[in-house]
Amino acid sequence: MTKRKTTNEEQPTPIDPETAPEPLQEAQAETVRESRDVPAETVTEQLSEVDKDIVEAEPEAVKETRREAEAVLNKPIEAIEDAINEIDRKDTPETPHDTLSHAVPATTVVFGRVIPLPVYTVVFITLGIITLVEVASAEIFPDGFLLTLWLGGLSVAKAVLVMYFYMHLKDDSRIFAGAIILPIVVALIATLFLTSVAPTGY
Amino acid sequence: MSEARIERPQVHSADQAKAVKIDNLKFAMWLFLASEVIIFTVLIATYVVFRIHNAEIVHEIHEHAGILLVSTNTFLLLSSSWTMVMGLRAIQLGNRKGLVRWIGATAVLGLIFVALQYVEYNQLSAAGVTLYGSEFGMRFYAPTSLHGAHVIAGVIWALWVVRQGARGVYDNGNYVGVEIFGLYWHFVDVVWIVLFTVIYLL
Repeated sequence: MTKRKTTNEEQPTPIDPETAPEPLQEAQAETVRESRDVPAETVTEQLSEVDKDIVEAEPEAVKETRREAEAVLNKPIEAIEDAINEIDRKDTPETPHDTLSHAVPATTVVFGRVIPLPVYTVVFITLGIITLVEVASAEIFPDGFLLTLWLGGLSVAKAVLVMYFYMHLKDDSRIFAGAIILPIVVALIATLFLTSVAPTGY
Repeated sequence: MSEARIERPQVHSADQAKAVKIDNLKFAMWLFLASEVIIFTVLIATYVVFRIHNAEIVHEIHEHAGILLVSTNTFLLLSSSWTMVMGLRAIQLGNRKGLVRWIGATAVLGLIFVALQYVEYNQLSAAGVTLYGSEFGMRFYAPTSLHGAHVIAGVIWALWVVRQGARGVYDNGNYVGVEIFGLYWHFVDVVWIVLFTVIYLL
């Protein structure tokens, strides 16, 4: 909310009561939040004579209608505020135990079979196998779009495995995931855009 | 206007204050890694554009350099991510000696990676692939050496974690320092997963 400013050069324009100004409390405050905190009596004391006349002249029925309209308009704001409060409540950990990662079990269940190794070791073996497949594919198959797609896919799979299990995105706050995924997506789009530019001719 | 309804996250106890601090530390690390994504993207995108328009030059270098050395290095780095996360698991279970051994192994694997990268650089420069000797040079050395610098920084950090672990700083209720180092180290691994595919396999 902007402040009203009056300088020597700019004389205040007389207010036409018919075209009443913005909500009175907000006009005196710098932010919506401040406007909420300003007591109604204080605001009335600060008003010019013309504004006071407007306030007093407003019939009770009109005031009531205005309050009802404000209540309707406030609903989406309140919904957003509720959502923010809910996220805060959910994401504010109670104890260090809530926010630190925890030791994984000594066994891992993969497709219903119990493997006597922690998930970290299972992921490591998987990463090793994928790397072997990558190297073999690069050596055996001819260059081309399909090979690029295949190797790119395997590389992404490895990166996701590391981030999901080793960097604990599986259990941590989704805000952490968002913080890293957003720049990766931007980076991918930027790189694809760059590759579409002709090397010469501009 | 409705009353202000956005609440500040309420911290009710010293435990909760500590938990919020840990959460903030982890989020700060994720934001740092997000900025790293952008730095590496600039270098990788530069290489990708060069690769698309100079396929023959890249093929010649691939044939000359071979894949064995860099594949070995990739396995070393993947192994170091596994030892890192096993070190974290050890301290989560209250095993301080385990932490020191696993993170010590991480540092050793990182050192071997850097040493083999040095060998690879020597081989390539002997073959004429230098910073200014070919168009390929700068596009290859910039991302891989920046990554190497990150590994060196990671090795120093790992040694510091080993020292702290040996002095009994960490226990099964206080290991956020290990976890944050882990985020960094795994990120370095993820970057290599991408570099390995883009620079050496495609």
